[in-house]
Amino acid sequence: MTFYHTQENRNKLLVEPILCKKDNAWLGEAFYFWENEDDADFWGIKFKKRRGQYDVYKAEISIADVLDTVFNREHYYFWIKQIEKAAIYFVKKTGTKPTLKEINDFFSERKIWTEIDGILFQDISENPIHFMVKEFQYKKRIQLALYNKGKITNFVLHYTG
Amino acid sequence: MIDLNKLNKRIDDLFESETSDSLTKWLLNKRFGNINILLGNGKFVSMKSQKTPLFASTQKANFKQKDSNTNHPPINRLAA
Repeated sequence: MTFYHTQENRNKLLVEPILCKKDNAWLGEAFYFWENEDDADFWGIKFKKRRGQYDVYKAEISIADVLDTVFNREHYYFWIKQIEKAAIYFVKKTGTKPTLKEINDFFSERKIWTEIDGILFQDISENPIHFMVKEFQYKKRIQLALYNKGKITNFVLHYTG
Repeated sequence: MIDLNKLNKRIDDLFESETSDSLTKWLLNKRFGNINILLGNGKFVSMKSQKTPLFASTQKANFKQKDSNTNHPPINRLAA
């Protein structure tokens, strides 16, 4: 499947995606990709133009062993169960609520996510072109947090915006 | 294909094996880096804000405030 990876243009072509380590990275340290090109483009316009331009790369990624919380019902409910279980344990044993990133980092560091190549998840886009009907955002914004870089092939620059 | 049952058991086993200390230490390290080396290990304790009698006293001071137009120098100058 084709996915898109957006980065600031630094006058240097990437040969592989950049590992995201930011605190607001929902699913912990991972290589983040967009499923839809318009989301990749909007992300570039909104957050990756600090140096003037942004690059959208595309890649082929095998998602056979990705936890698909967007389109796979079984995976979705499994995911919800694990996150809520983890949250309960954290509160019980530490007295404080974890963030989603902390739960995922914890799973990664304790080698739980070595069983899967990544997680496909969704939220709602702020992209105005997605609001084509009144009062309801009907379109999913889908991202892939990829833990296993080995699943990427044909990582190339798609365009510079 | 992902074996969800196996993954579920691994996660259950993981949390069973984690102690309060190990999980708290991991979380502190994640949030504050190595600062917990300075603070020491321990649990998060939620604290309620409370007024203490020391700062909540409504009694008037037992001294007479001098007029600010007097020629006395500020007290820190006296100390110097």
